[in-house]
Amino acid sequence: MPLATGARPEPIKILIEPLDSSHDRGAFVCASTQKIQNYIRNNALKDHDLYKVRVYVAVRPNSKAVIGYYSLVLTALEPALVSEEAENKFSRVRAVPAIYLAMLGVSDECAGAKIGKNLTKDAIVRAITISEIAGAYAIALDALDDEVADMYAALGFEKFVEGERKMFLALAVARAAAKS
Amino acid sequence: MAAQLKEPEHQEWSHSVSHAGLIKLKKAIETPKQPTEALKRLLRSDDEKAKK
Repeated sequence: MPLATGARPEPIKILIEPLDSSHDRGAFVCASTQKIQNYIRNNALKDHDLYKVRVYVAVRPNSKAVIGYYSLVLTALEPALVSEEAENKFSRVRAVPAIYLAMLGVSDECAGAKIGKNLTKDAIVRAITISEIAGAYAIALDALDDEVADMYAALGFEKFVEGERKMFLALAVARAAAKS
Repeated sequence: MAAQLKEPEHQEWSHSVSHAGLIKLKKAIETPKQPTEALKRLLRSDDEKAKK
């Protein structure tokens, strides 16, 4: 979803918990980015229950209405197919294990209330935890637009290639930040 | 288990990155940068979240 603009509402106290069937996913509205809205409404629970991805939702205390969410999945960052010459030149570079932040969105009613910030923090902390268990070098994502990419860049995410919006943060950097 | 998965689903679990991008990533892994102040602040903050 695009970043919220205009007057900022008061931060909302939230819980972040794994998605389950008790959550009201129909309450989530993200008119600007239908993909974000449709995924939580239609596919997230099925994917979560199959362990295809893991989905974490933000809710207010004593509520089950989903007001934000993100999803994580393990991934391999693999070299793109290139010419044989280029492949020989870069033959030392192979796939890199990583954690992919597949989606992150906040319901329109809560835009600007720092829920996205808290979800991002939770995703990074959880990625650090996952890397301690299974091994992963980085958290990667595809920023929705340039404004969102700039926000992630301020946190230290780097673009794989300038001009694109696929980004990564080395988890060694996140671990150092968490310990500082 | 893997044999029961459809190929398109498997493909979703890998991401193609240019060689230049992968080299940039490997450099970042081998020689991590100092975390930004914004990242430090983010990971320190716990004021709005009631609990995990």
